[in-house]
Amino acid sequence: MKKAWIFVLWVTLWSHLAHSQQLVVEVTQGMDSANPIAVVPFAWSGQPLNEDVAAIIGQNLERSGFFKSMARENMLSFPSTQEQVFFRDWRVQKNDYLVIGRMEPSGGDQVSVVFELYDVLKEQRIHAQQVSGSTANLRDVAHFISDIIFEQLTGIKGAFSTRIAYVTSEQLGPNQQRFRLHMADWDGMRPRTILESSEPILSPAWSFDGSKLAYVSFETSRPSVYVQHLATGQRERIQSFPGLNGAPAWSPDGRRLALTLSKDGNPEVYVLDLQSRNLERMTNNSAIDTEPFWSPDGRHLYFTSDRGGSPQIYRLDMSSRGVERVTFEGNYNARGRLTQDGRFLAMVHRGSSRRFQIAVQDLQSGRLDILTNSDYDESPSIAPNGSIIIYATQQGTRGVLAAVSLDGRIRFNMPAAQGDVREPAWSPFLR
Amino acid sequence: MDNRSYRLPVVWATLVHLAAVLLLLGHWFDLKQAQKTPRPMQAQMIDLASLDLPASPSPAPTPAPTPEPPKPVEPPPPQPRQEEQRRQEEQKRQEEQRQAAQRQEQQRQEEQRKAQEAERQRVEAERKKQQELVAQREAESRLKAEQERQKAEAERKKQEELAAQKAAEEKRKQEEAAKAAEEKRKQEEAAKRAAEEKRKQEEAQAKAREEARQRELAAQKAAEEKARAEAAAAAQAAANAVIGDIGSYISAMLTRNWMIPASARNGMEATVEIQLLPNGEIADVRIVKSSGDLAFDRSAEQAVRRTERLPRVAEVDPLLFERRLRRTQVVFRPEGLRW
Repeated sequence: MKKAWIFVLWVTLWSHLAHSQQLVVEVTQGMDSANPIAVVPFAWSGQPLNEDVAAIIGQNLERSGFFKSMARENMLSFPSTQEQVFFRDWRVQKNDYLVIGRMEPSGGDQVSVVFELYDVLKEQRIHAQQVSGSTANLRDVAHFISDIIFEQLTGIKGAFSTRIAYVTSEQLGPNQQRFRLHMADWDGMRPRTILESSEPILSPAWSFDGSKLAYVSFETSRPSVYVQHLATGQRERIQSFPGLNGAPAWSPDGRRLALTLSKDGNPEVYVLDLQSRNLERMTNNSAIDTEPFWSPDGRHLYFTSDRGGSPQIYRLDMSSRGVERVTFEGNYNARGRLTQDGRFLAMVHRGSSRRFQIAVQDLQSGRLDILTNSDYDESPSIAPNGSIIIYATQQGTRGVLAAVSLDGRIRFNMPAAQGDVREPAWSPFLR
Repeated sequence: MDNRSYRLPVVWATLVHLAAVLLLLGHWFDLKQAQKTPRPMQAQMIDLASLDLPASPSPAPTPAPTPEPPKPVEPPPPQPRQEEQRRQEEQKRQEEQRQAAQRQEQQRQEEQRKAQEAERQRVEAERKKQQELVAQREAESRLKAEQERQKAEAERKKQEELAAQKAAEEKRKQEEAAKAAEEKRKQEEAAKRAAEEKRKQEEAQAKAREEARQRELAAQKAAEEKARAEAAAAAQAAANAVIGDIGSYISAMLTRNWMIPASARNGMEATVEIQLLPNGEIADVRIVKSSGDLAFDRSAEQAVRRTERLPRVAEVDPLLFERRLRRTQVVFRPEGLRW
């Protein structure tokens, strides 16, 4: 018994010693680069398809900023089953992950897609799944698979199946313009027009459940706020007041809209209860208070105000009505949006460079980083998973959509749409 | 004690002598009587048959075996110068001879009578002697009994005396013993006290010595310990230097292969444990402390897996490798990130 205790003591001591002596290496620096991933073309024996699922997946993953997709021409082989995978090949070509897949017709225009995700360094299969779709919605299938892979590898929910809304304007002739409200895949593909007007359409805003869009339309003589149900196309006009009616923002619970109204003289921020139609004025300042947006928890209302001399972003506490300034760097900070965790504030920023750029401020540290490098960037909108910011920018003389990863690592332009593209709005996660 | 012990032997000696005298007394009287009687009747004829006594050593009138005439008393040698006298003497002698013959006859008769008488006396004597013998024996036995009794008495007395003596002796001895014991006790006590004193002193001395020894030992031990510690520290320092170098090396290798994910934030920290092989190969890696961010954790693990091997680890002393490197922990903690 005594011996046993001594032994236990000894072992404990020894292990403690051994543990305390164990080398602990610290790594504080790394490469600022994405994880290389190879998405092998999926095997398909049927009629040629109009979409390349693997290519869409590879592009999605790359555009997230987390991954770098291997160019297809560099691949040594195109395995579609586990037996065909030679990890060494993929490893030699510096891939960390490998995605293979095979598609088979499953009757009619239905397609069955099986994909497998491998950890090349570990030589292990991480995930395998079968997905069904039709030849018509292969992009949805690709986005869905992208979401799964992204979440498997990063732990972050993929936002590749979300949508964006944006407004385009076309000059059809002298004094003749066409304004369109569009909805597209997150990558700008498959755009659909959901509203067309000869008068300007502004500030599309998604409800938190993704079922409605609020926007400002000038279709009547003065700007009015409309809410349109996406599923039915049914739209309703929200109260219209003399003067400016603009910048609607849905509250997280979806029951209220924050608005900018100038009915009392100068633009102020109001909150409209959609049920009771109660309108509550939130700001009362001789300066312009506009562009409201909610914190994810609904307890704060952010807005842009030039009460300090230049446009800056302020935060209003909904319960105390106390207002505090949030941005300090630069002489112009406006049109803010928050990530879903409430930590990062994306906005249009103008600093010493005198260019309007997309910047992100870490609300924890106060640090502000400029993410873009163009002259006229506007209307940033953040993906629901906080990974990418979409914004409008100028290309030549017309506006286009671009996106940048939150860390600024990846920046890319959306496919060119017709006309002048403005005011993108990223949807929440869609069911 | 010694002078006392003579009493008993003296008594004994006296008694023994007395007994001897008494024993010889009868014999002595007897002898006197026997010698008196036969002397004048030398060379007498004796009827052998009547005296058919077995060779009795008795000195009683034992007739000679040969009836030789008794030898006349030798006349004194004639002296010429005294012729007359001699003649007279011759006459006288003759006369005497005749008288002697007469006397002889008478004597013979007398002798005969006497012999008879002697015989009778002898028988009587014999009887008497027998009686005497019996008496003597009785006396002897009485004496003996008396002696026995006396002896027993003496013995008893002696025993008593002895017992008394012994008791006295015993008592004396006891007293002496008690006294001695007391004395002894006292001495012992004294001795004990002295011994105790001595013991205490010795103990104190021993203690002092032991303490001194212990101090010395402790000092020695401390010195040894110090030397050992210094040696160990030196070895440790050398090992630490090697380990430190290897640590920097591993860190540099991993830095080259760590792709910090977009989700990484300053303050995130993931700890992985690397299992190394002596040849520097990375046998396995696992997350032992998650950062809470899957992408970050993966990036850490991938950094190690991408590194694949750490050639310089093979140069490390195998023992040191076993103790410090076989399982190495790596903390991935980004610094200088934007956020």
